[in-house]
Amino acid sequence: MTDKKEQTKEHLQQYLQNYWTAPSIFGSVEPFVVDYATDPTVGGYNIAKSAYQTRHDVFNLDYVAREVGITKDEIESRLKKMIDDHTIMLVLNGNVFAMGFSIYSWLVKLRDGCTPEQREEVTNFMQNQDETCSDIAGEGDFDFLLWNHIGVLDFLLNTIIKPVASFPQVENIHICPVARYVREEKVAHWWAPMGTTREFYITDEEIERFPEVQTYWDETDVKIYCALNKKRPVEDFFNFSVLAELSGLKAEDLKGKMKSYVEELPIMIPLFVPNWRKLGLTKHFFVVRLYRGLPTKDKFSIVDELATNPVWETLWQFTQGYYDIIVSAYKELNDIDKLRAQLRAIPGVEEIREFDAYRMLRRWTCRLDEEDGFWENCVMTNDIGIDGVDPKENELYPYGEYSLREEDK
Amino acid sequence: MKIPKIRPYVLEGLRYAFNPKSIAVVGASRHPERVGWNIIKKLRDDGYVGKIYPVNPRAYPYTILGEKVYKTMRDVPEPVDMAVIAVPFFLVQSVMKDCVANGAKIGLVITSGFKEVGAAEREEEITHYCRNNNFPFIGPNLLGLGSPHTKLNLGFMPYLPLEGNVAIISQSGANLLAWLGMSCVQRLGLSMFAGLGNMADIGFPEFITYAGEDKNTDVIALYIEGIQSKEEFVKACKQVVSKKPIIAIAAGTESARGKSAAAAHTGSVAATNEEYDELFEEAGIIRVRTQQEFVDVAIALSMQPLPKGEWIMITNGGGSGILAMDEFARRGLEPLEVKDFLQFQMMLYAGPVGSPLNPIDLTGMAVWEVYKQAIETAISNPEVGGVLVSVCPTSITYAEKIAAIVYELSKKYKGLDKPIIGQFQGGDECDRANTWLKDRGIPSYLNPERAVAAIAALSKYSEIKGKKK
Repeated sequence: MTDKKEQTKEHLQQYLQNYWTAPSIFGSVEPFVVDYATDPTVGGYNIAKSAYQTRHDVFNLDYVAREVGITKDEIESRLKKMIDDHTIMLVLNGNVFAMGFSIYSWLVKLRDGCTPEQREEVTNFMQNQDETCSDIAGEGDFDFLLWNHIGVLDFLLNTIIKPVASFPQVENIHICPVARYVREEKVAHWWAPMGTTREFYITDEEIERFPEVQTYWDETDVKIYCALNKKRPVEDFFNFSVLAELSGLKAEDLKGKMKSYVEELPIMIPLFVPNWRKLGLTKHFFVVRLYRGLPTKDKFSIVDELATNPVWETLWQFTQGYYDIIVSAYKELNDIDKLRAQLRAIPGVEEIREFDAYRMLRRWTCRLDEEDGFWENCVMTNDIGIDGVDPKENELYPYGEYSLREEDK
Repeated sequence: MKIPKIRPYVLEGLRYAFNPKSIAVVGASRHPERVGWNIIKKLRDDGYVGKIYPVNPRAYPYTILGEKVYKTMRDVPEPVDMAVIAVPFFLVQSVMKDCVANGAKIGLVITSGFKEVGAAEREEEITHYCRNNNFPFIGPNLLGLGSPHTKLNLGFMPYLPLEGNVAIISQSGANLLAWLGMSCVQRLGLSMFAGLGNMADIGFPEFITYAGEDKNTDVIALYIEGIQSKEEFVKACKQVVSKKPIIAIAAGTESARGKSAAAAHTGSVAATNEEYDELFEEAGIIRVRTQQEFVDVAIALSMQPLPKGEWIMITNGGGSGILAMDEFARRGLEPLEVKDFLQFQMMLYAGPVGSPLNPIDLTGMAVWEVYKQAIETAISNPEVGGVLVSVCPTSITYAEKIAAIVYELSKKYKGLDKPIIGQFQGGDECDRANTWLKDRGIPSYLNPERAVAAIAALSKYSEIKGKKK
């Protein structure tokens, strides 16, 4: 067993100096650097996540008040409304690569001429399929964007994708393994360019337009949203005294864990996600294919360059997929034609596909369909802890009437 | 944690726990695979008709299984009789404060992550807070509790057990689940059941006292991994055993591995075998050793009167008789010495190749009429304290017929107040006969050793009651 002290990313990956191969998983750090999936304290995040709906002071409201320039009471009152209205949600994005998973995204195209009922049938299936991690519904060159943390590829192919592919209205599916998870919900993630992880990106133009395109948030609320997501030390993010009071755990312990996970490693990214569907926003996605012969370093450079643009809400780099990059921007807050032109102007871009996303069905195992009564209903997929193999599809279980497979019963 | 004496407010809380008119489920979930969803589902499916208040700020303002969700216990519109707490450990402390604010009568903490994982300090802090506020709670780290009499299935038990008069109080959820399952299959009727978990606040003494007062309970069965308040435990048992027998398994006593498993399981420190023997003797508890013996003995004590003399065994199998006699000896019991006129009578039934001595061997030739005469003779004889009827079905011995005879004669001689135990050994027909008899209040077992274990418990309780007088 490796000593705990030696379980740093650098130490565990020293072996790569002696090999020509990449790590066992795409763009990954060594798995199990940290067992935060089973760590009961997880730096206080879970306490905040379970309490913020009624205890808004789990956040550092003094910081937010200073940042926005209004009183703490007003911050609390506005935050309460945002939370009660379900227009914002506290989220933790854990680095699943550090748990031994890779992220595979996949794009689904429905056949032309699908009726609304046929579309709804697929949508409902995806909404309710708990093995699916994240899922966005849209329309255009693609109709769904999904992504999953996967340990064993068979699980993705057999359990998750196969049932979707078997719908007659599905025309094709592109699997795009994620090599770099650069940005999500406007927050830089683990493989953003060095030093930028956790940075929050938003343009002045977006801030200005935000209050104009919807009725839930005014200018001050938008400022609160920005302040909440601004990169800062964890003690400015959470109120550890309140977390300690709620849990009976020690504030210093909670803070120490959180600093380690969020700031030092970093493998946890706390962020505030807007309910963009409720706020009347549409995400416009560009799915980009680069020329095959383009050197890898150039592909990385293109993504690095895109990462400097605060307009992008999502930015991932793929590997070994038909497509190489996916980016998105809020349609109502930006000039999509201009963004398309910018992308086309990048040397090396061969093809661009586009679609509008109007509904987020699930995100990171959390159901988001507010209208069906499932806002913030966390549904852990059952692959974690069992090596990514779903027994329902695993031929190791031929037990007749004791089989877990429906068809055997 | 230890208690200096039985607390009246805890007994009051336990009355609410087993007869709640309103239940709040804190940590109620919208997801069918979660405990917080299943608790509500099982409550309704198994027939609970009181109010249910799901509590979960994430699920507010939706409904769960048709019940309106509340953000916190403070928002629940009335003080509830029972608050079930199924939230992550780090929220238990704040939820307990909310429960006190609500005025809840008692809490049931399903959550684990306390003493059993080395976090005793965390558990003690919560216990101190609750005791200071007279808010009793069961747990943490437990399976649940319930009663088939009130259709209460509170926790994550898959179904309710058979209704009856035995109370099971168990420190182990897994073993409790086993007994709930065995209850249905082996016809052990329960009045109530409870998993105690870590016993941070409420432990055996108060549960025993409550079960002692419970009108549906005639027998109390305990699974023990450790006892915290020994003096109160003994005191509680002594008060109860003159009215109701108490049986107990003391687990984790046989090996160092067993002890460490108990410590890891519920954070308990098990005593030695000898210490338990001494403690149980003082308290008037009948000690059993295995899951199966626990069930067998509880069935016997819950169904039959106590013997007022020694036992006679009537069988058609020499081998089953010998095994039974060995077991009598191992357990220090002396079967009846059959002599004089009773011996003469039995000689008529046993015939030239059988035996008129205890065990009475009617031989494989015995048909049901012979069994009838032998049993009737034994049961009506004043020398006989109890009758063990053993059957090894042959092609001429019908288990069903003999079971019917045992039942008819038990009714006919009910006024004599003598125990009768059945023992049908063999295949499905014997299983059916044993079950048929148990459904009619006559304990009946597949093996002679199990039958004698039940007989020994009846005799032991007779002795305990005699001492109490």
